[in-house]
Amino acid sequence: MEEFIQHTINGLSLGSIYALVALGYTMVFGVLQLINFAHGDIFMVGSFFGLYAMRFFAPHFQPGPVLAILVMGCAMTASAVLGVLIEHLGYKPMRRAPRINILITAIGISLFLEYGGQLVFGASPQFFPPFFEKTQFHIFDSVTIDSNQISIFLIACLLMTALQFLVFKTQFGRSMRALSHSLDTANLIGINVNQVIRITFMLGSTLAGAAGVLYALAYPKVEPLMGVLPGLKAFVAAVLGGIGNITGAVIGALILGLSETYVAGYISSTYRDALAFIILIIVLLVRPSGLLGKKRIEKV
Amino acid sequence: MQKIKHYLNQTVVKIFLLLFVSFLISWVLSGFPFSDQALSQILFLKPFRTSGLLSPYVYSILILLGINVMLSVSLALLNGFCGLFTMGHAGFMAIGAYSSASFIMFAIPSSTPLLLKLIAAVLIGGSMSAIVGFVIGYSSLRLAGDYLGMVTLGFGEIIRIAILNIDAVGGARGMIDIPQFTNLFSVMFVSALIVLIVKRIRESRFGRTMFAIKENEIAAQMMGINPTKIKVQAFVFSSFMAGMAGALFAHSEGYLSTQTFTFVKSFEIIAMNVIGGLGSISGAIVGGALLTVLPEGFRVLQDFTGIDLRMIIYALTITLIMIFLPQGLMGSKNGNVKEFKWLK
Amino acid sequence: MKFFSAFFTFVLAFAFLLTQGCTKKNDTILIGNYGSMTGAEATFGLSTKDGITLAIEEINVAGGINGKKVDMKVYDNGGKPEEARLSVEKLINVDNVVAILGEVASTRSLAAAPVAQQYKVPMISPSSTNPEVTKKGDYIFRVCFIDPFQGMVMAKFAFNSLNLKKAAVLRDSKSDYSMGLADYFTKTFTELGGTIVADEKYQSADVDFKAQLTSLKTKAPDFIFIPGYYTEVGLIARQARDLGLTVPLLGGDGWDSPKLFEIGGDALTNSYISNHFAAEDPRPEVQKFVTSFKARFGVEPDGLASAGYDAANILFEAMKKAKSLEGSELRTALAQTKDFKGATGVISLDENRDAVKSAVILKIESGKFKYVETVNP
Repeated sequence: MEEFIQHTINGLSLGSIYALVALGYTMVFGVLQLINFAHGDIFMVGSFFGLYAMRFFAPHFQPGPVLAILVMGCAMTASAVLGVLIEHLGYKPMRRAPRINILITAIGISLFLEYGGQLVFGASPQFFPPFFEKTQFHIFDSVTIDSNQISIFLIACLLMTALQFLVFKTQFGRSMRALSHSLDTANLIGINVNQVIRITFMLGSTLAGAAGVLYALAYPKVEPLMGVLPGLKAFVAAVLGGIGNITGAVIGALILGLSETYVAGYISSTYRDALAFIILIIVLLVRPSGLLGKKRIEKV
Repeated sequence: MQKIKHYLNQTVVKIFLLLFVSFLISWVLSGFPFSDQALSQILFLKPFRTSGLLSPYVYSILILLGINVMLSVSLALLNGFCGLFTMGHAGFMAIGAYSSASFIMFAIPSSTPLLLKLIAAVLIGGSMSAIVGFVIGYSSLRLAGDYLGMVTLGFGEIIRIAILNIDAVGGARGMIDIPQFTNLFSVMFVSALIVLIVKRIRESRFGRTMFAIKENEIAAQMMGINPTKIKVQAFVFSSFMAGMAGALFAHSEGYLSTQTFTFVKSFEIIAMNVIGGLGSISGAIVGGALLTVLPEGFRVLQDFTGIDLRMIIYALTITLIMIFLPQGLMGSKNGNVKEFKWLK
Repeated sequence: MKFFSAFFTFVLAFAFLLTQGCTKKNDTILIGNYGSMTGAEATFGLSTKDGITLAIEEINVAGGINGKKVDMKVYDNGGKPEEARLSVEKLINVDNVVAILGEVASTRSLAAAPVAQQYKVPMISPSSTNPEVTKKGDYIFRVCFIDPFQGMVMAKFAFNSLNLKKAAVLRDSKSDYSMGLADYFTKTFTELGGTIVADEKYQSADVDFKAQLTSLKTKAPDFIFIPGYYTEVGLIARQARDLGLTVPLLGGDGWDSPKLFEIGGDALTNSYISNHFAAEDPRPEVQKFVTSFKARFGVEPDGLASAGYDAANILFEAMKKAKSLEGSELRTALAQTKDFKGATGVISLDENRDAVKSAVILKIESGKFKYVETVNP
């Protein structure tokens, strides 16, 4: 029983990490129908900028909320700038191009960031010092949970609510939704399409930067290829929940985290990495639009 | 009956022509050897990496180039003709490579003539891969677009992880001591054959239906086309050819490891297609050739820069081609694709 | 028009290939190094390259080999076996190197070794531990332990010296090194009479190991054997301690890196590894290597760098002794390497061209390796 509770805690904390990355993914997809493969790498750049901010500020501040805000702020700003840059240079010229071309561009940018990262940041993994002392809690005898896990879970839920509010309750959200229906119509009714897309990208990348720092807090090792696996997993989570759906992304991520942990813990750890894809395949075959996604009817 | 006979004649003649031309080119490239030994090396498919016009290094690149062209052309059938976006082609290649290697190593006596071995390897690799292709194609029929891409990517990764955990084929260490009998001649012949087949497919009724489905599936359905059948057929054909490429790869490298068949390899094959121009066979050939030669060619730059910029330039090239030449090298603005004259 | 642009690019790229590397200077000795300088295992390739670079710079300052300077060509393979083979093909046929150093990973050494063997160019692998590598032919050497030896050393140490009887294994299913070491450890440990209570797997580049560790914990092992690389072990150790697993962690030479302590921190206390050498070892070779590496690259050397350094120096030693730099002469000289005093121990090459050297057991205490004992082969 205790083992089960421990697995559940582990699974939820892993899932909330995936959720942080999946939120940005799903938002960009929801608006542009674009799988932004570079998202995982923006996430990586975010955590590296967090690391450099940390090194810069650490001598002047004690670990605590101030340092946390500074580090997060730097990481989020840097990745927002990067996101806007990528959108402007890479995706904007391709707005009317076939989907597959945009996807290849995304992959190209992602590879560029990865290999560029290995050159600029160095290929060896680096330690990310904590900017918050974590506290361990013991439930029952041997079940442990720490403050990082709790706060990451809470932040993921908080961000989900905030995004939900942004998309459904604000003027900007309304333009985003209009855009996701049809780019041309949105343009015709007076929405500044380019600006909405830019801001969406900025928000998505900011989220990626924040996720990068929180991720590095939970797993204090940063390296240039750290974004690949979480990126893929988060994508699977987003598809699982119904891509473009914000609540769906978080639920999908939690399900993915839990099932990975249960399978590795109870059945076999051999096929743990394949599991994400097996889930993806099953979900898409049974319910192609994901758990919460709306079914799209194709017309001639 | 008469018609079939006529067709058969034509195809057989063409295949012989291909054989002859491939032999001729291999003979020229290996430096016009006249000794019996050298000639038999080309004909009876022993690896000939001896001196000739080509350094063994360029020779190896040419073999890889041929294999990449096969992969790229086989993907063009799915991606370019039928509009099925798949990201798991490396998985098909892996199945072909591993199954043919295990067949040759464990199932048949090592005294079998090399030519027979080669034919067996290519056929086994192709069929195993086609079976998997059938399963994947059949099960992912309901999906389209990016979703199909993700599911096939998932299948590709599952195949890779499954192979990684089979100890009989070496697991993480990889499969060693695979008999090497692929040579330039066999690679050239098989890749020319694949190009020929794909060209014939495109001109056939089957090919036209694929294009119809790509343009508009529902409209195609209205015309009495069964998209399910056509799509599964396309998957089977494509994976068969990718499996053949995998088999040739296995017997030219002599060593297989799952590190080769990651999803990066699948991306590479897609990139070959898109850079060449989607839907164009010539494009697939050009793309396959370019993406084989470029990474090797960029090695020279290291002498000037001191650091390894190879992969960065590679990534940048793909991105820039996509931005500035969205139709690919062999595409044109009005949506038509260009072909080499001999492929028209 | 399109056709021409495509054709032109292609021809240009091909011309690149044909023209490069035609110059061969006679006053230098060119050696080749191939490794993964980009991609997931870049950090291993780059470390090794640094070690080799240092060795080359030292020998050149000391006057070179019989008056000739040593130069190195480095090719990246991005972690792909087929590129490893291609780059060795290029090193031998285009650049005409006299010897090859590389690869770190056994998988890529296995892919490239047949080429070196075919052209009779000696190849020394700094850290490919799979026994199969040197079986590829008599021109293939290595300067590191092989998996069976290291697995046996750790099993015996755990069973006899630490008196621990219940082992749990956590291995990296993607890494050949980890799988091999885990297998041989399991074999020896069960032969000695110990039990393996759990055998879990992870994949390199994973960051979350809590699921595996939680189920290991319920099996109550006396210790956990983690034959992995430092890139993952630091996080594994942290998460194990977070989950309340306080048993000792045991590992192999893959742990040896300053990054290990950086990432693992205090969580690594009470762990043991087997390694080639101890940094506190007073032997002058070790101390000289550590200080000059630090002076040159600004960081402490890791195990891979020191293995690369030794591989290069053994090669230079053989070059000095060999009658000529022909492959066969060099090979003979290499095969006779005996009691070479390197940074990773005193190395002799046996008839299988594998390094015979003693292993040291180190204990991790307050962020440092402490010498425990030496195990002779």
